[in-house]
Amino acid sequence: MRKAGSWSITRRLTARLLLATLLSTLLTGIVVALHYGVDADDLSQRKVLELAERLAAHAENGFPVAEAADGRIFSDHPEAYRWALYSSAGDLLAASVGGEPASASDMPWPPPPEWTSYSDMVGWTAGVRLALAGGVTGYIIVEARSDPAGLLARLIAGEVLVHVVLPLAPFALLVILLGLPIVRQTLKPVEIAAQQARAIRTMESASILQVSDAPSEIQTLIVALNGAIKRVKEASNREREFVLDAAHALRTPLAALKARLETSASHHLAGALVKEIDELSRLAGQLLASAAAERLVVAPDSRVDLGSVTRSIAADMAPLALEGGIEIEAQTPDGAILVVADPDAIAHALRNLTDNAIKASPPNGVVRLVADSNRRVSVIDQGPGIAPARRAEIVRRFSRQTFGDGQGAGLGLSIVSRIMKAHGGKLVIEDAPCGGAVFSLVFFKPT
Amino acid sequence: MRVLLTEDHPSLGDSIRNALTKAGFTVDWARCAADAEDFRCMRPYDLCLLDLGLPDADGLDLLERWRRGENTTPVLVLTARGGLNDKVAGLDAGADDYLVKPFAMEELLARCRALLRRPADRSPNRITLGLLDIDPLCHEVSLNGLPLGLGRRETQLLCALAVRAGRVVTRDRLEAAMYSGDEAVGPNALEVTASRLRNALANAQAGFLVVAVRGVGYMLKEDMS
Repeated sequence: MRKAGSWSITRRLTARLLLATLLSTLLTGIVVALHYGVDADDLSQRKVLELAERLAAHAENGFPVAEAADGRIFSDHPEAYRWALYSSAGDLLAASVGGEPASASDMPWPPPPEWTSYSDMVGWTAGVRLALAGGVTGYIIVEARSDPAGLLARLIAGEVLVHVVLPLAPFALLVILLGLPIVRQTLKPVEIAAQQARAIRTMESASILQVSDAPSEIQTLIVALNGAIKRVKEASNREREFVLDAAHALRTPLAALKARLETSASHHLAGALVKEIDELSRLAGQLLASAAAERLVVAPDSRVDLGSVTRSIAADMAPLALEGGIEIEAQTPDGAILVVADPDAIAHALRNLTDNAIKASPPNGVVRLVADSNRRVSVIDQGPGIAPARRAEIVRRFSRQTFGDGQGAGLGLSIVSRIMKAHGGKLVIEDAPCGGAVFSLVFFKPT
Repeated sequence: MRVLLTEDHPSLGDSIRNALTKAGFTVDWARCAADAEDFRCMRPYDLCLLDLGLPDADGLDLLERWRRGENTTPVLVLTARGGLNDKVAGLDAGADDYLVKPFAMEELLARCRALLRRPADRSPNRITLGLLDIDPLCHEVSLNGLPLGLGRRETQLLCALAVRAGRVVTRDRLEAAMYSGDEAVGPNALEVTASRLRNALANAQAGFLVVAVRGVGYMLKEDMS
């Protein structure tokens, strides 16, 4: 039913919702990054000061400053990052690999507890006061002439993480977790309508779709569908009435004509004309049956016992057969053979096959109707049989059969075949073991 | 015997009326449902012939109305309806028999006679078939007025077959008519009875044959030879 490869609305909406969430998160990240990027000076200043504070904290704890957390940037990029530690008297106690910061000479003395300065030549410098071992005051200054280690980028990334990703992550997670159920719930009216539509088996029993709380867009679709159902139903009813009316309109005049001929049977042509009328009315009947078979839909709850149908058709047809000297036999198992089927249609099909078999039988022949528990009913005759090459042909409409008197419009087997198709089964034609033909109604659907 | 014919087709109705009249029936011909109702109010009928496609009503509706009124007059439905259901819905609605148009007039007369053989209360107390006279209540069968001397089972079988003479009666139906529910029925009991009945009828030259339809049942058939 669902086309392979096509996405359901549920999947589409969920995917788009997720994409929208991801995009908005990304966009927010970019905006935040831009915001900080525009104010890069301020950030650089903060970064240098933070670096100085970290080195100071490190030194206060008695560790060599060179081994500070970020220490490697000073040895890796001695030209770009420098630091120096001074005593309160202004003596240089220690300095980075690259030497004293160039801006140390411009440093006011004694420096404030915390300061920063900028010059085009050396970039940002920051200094902080610290307490060395033994309560001695010291000063540390850090200089960043350029930023080859990407400290600024790392800082911005950190900011984005803190201000964008962390607050938005739970939101995205909620969208992911709730998106699918929400979309499903919203689309439930569509599923309900689809279920109701799927339950329609025959146009006679079709009811309009009823979905009370559907959104207006879906309501529009349902109203349109209901209109279509109504129109098809009306057309179907009109067609059925036409079949009944046509039957009446055709057969009643034929009956009148026949009655006239019979009651005034003096004319020598009367007998022949009556035969022709019978032929015409049989054709009318077959056309109607054919029309009915074309539109046959088997109700899913309609059960038929194949054994009982077989016996009843054998009983119905036996008197006619006996008149022609043909014997009819039925062979049915004790238990019921239940199949999902239309009782009228199956009786019609079996009657048709039996009628053919009687016509094909040699004088004093036997026609056997066999129902077996494998959901198959066979009609076996002792006639000439049907050559394999002709089997497909005789099932087609208006193909003349050669057995019997050669009469008939050739619609009978096509009707039987159509009836079996409507049942999800088929008409099988085979040779009987001792000559003759076997026509079987084979049902596949297990009940 | 008075028959109510309900048929709207002028020529067909005329032919049927003539044929019935010639066969000794008295016929009232209604050309629409309203006429038929009027006729039925005026007098009782022994048999009704009802066409389903009437100009002013559906014959089936009319039939249901009659049956609701607890009218047990036998009804033979004449129908042109067909399609896949050769058995017409009329039988469910209370028709006693049906004929699909066009039919042979002889067949129509035969069906009428068969329906009139069945009394309206549906438990026949006397059946006449050719020279055979059957009284099911007294278990007596006479041929040409002389008792045939059949056993009880054979008489029961003959009764069950005679009410549907010319048609096959299934085993189930025969057994139901012959044995009560708590009686043990041997597998060949019906065959034995049928064989006895067949011989008895043949020996007495009753003019009827008991024909076995294997796997289905038996049929009482007029002996044409």
